[in-house]
Amino acid sequence: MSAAPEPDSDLSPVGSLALLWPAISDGLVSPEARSRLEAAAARLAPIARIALELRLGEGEDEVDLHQLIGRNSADAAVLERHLSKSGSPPASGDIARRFLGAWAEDAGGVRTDLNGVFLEWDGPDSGSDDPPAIFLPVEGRHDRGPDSAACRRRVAGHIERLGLAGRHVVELLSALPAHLSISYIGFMLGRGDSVRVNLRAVHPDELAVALSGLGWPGDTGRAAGHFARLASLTGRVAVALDFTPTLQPTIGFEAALPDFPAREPRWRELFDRLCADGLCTEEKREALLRLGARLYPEEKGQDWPASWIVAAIAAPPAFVPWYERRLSHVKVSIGADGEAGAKAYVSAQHHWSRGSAAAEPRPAKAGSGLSDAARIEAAACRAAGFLLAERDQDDFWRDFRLANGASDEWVTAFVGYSLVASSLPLPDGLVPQTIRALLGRQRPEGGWGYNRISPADSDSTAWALKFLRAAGYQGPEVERAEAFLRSHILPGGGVSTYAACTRISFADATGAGDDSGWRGSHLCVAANVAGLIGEPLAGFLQASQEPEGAWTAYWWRDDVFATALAVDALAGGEARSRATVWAMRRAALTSAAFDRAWLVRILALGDAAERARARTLAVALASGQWWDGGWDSSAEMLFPDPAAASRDPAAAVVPDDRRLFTAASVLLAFASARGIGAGK
Amino acid sequence: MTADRGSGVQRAIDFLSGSKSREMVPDTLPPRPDYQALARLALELGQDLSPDAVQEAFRLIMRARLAAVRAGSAQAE
Repeated sequence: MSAAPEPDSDLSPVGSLALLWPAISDGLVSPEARSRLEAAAARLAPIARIALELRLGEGEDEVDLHQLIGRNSADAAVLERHLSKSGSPPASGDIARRFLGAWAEDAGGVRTDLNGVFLEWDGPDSGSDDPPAIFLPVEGRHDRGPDSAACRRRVAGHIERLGLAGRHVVELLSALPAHLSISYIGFMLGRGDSVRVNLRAVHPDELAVALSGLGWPGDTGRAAGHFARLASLTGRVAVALDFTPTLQPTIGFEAALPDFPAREPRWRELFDRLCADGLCTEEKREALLRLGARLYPEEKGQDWPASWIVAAIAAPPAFVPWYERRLSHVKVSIGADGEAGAKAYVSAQHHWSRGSAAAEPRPAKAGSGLSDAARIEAAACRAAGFLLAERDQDDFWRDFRLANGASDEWVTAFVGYSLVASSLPLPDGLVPQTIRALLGRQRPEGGWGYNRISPADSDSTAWALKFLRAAGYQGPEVERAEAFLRSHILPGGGVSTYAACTRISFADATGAGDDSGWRGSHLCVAANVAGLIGEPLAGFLQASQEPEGAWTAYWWRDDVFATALAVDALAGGEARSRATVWAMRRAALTSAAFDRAWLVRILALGDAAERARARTLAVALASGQWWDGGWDSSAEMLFPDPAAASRDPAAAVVPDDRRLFTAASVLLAFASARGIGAGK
Repeated sequence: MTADRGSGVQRAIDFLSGSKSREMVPDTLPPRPDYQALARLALELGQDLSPDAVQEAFRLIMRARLAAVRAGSAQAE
């Protein structure tokens, strides 16, 4: 990792293709198409971040070429050199060249304002003079209200100033309803006045109405059905609409998944569906699912492009490059006549630094002059907004990455509970949609699991039940869930995560091995379940408290979360007092948002001094909030050896990589802090 | 780095780390994995290196650089 600016070395995009070809079959990209793409890539600015757009149907072998140009000064310098070397452009390229020149110079602040630009050439070859399509980012996922409107105005200003399109596009940007988040706007310079608008986070229930409102001439119900299926398979689907200036008959749905197919089982489910619908051949499916890889030049057997080698050697020593090829997303196009087709996007990118992808966190606006209570309230609202913006379009929240993919059932129950328990106003439909999503996943035996392909467990079920109760749901599913939880109480009084009869299948931790540890007594789970069942677990919890006041977690690196759940479940008394004393000591030792949040929950139940400390911690949490409403990822789940009877010191630590579990925990802490008197 | 001084790999490390090679990019080197090209370049500059030695030298340089970066990060934390 390096804070120094990246080197502005020329890195030919042909190198990206050369490292991609060994993973690409001739059926996916023919030898003739490879030659054409290499010739086209050789003419691009030497920035080695490209993508291929591949048709998935039988006999479809046209391939489009994309290039990503970043906002950093290195890309700008490379682009400027390239433009100065490439001489006078052909007449048809004037707009693109003018735009790229402005980008390199940051004219009018276009590069300051926009986080990168995508260029796309349709079926390029070495002799083509066709200008590229230019795609600009518009709104971020977490831009809301006035921020969102400001983003649209900024982009509209650049479009007008740089002459990318006529006035109608500026009007289109302001005319699209504010609740639709525009992720990208694209200018198809080779296709007349055509402009593409990509919308993110459209809920499947709203698509048909949105398409009708925009005047789409096709069968909106059928299109919404396709869209809902993609949303249920991937959770995140953008809607791509072309305007010339009226909405064109073919619309696109772009579905993305966050990881390599080997670590994200939903990729295969998505491609199986495309094959079943006749949109993808089985050969192309298998080739695409296999191609993902990261190549590191320090590893044996890697092949690094010769020109990239010298660029790497010449770079400052803080830079150690790597390369990634991966399936990025899939697009399903639907015509107004019902015709459908599918494409896959494969990226092939050179990177300069390890771990450099994460953006530097920007703090939220502090709100000077506000009382502590007002600061906590404002931070709680931002946290809820963060969680709402991170919800996937199939009504699930996802976080943590394991071999079985991300968790959705457990995480959705937890985040849903935190939002309902926050008592903040929530969007219409959110709670019923979340109830519907979770009830749709309840297993025949009454429980929920880590995710759909994982077995039901008592901890996930406890959070689902807490959410359903908090939401006021009273159907028969509640009783079945309670019975499921009771079936996990052990003869000795504890609670197991997995019952003796459960077939545990966690990818590499599956099968014939000893998994008695995961079926043993887990205090963190007992603490969670006790809040729902009470006796006989209350007595067991009191007896299992450590002398210094904590309860030892099995699934978590730290004991604060388990201790907070236990304290919450116990009515009061000596055990709670010991826990609050322990929490006072711990409060001085931790700065992690997740731990601090659960310390607030414990201390809020203590005496006056402890409650005052809880309030101080809550204010500190508000001060550490990011601009997007979240916090640093700090919920550290463990993935222990299935045979480990107690907390496994060698267990893999799995962070909440999407920061949802931390944010939901802090939201619960703020709800507790609100109940504490103002104090000094 | 584990290469012996005087071996082909060490000479390749010296060659790659030298300033002359930096001026050869991008016009004289192919934009694809081609260690032969680097060996040919070395020969033009008076160094008889095998493509395998060039590949191993690059790997060792990157490995050493990564170790230094990680050690620096660990110290910073």
